[in-house]
Amino acid sequence: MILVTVGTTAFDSLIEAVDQISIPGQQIVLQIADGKYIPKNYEHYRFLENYDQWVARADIVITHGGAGTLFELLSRGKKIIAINNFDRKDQHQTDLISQLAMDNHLIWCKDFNQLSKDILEIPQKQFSKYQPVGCDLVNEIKMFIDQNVNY
Amino acid sequence: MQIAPRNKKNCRILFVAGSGGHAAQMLLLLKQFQEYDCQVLLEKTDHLTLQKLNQSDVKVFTMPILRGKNEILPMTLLRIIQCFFASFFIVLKSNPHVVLSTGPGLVIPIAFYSKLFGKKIIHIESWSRVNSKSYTGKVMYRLANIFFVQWPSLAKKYDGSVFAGRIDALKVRS
Repeated sequence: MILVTVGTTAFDSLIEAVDQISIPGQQIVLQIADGKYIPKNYEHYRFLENYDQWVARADIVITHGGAGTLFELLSRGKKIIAINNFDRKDQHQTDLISQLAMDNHLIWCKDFNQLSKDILEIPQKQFSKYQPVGCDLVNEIKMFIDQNVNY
Repeated sequence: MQIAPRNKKNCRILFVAGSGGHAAQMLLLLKQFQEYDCQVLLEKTDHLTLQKLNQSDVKVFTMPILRGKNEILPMTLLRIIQCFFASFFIVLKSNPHVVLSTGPGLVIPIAFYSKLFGKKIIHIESWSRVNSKSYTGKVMYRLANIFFVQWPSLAKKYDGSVFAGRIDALKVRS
């Protein structure tokens, strides 16, 4: 099963591109958020209830470049095709996707014409496992408050 | 001589979280600051996060969005003025000891007044910024008392910034 998610922000051009792909024998499920384009060929939802279970079942996840979505999928070891949301005004999503692609954690699809090829190739691809860096942010903040704030 | 430990509940932290990914990072942090008096500022339109916080006893402030989609310049200016106006009253009402930002644009007016009123400002640049500087980041770099980044590559571009790991690791732990 292929899960497609745009997170919480519409990404109509991605949904439309996926809707036009035909991959025999593959179930495709889309989360389209507040998008205007309504898929004609595949099962779709505004927001998936039981998103976690859909992710667990998915063999491949096609997603926008939102950091929250990406870190979550990476920590669960999913095979990811990420596409920066072209429909957004600010293009900051490429910053994170390009880094993660460089570190071989996912496939960065820069062009919808590449999408079917990426889907066909990803099952054979070996990715390196994403390990979150240790986070000492909470302690650092508490220490800063302790030393600098009068209350 | 021993100094009695301070009661952290007397220390008020205003988490400035905006919406979307900034709010997601705030939610992960918030759990780790239960011993403090925490308040949160969100965008009015982020219903998902508002819903999550409604189940807790954290005080929530909301602000109209700073940038509308595809709107003309005078409207944007009007919104910015409105935002500065609202921010003044939010800082006054919340009266925090610390402003803790996870990177949304609406922190700029908040930080402006907080600075004026002598509050401490902590800024955490978003986890999605690996190499590129955000506009909010550039402004907050000047206003914040301490400036955290979540990628070592970005730390090299901000002199004196602190890299102390990334918030996504908190999710795995909790």
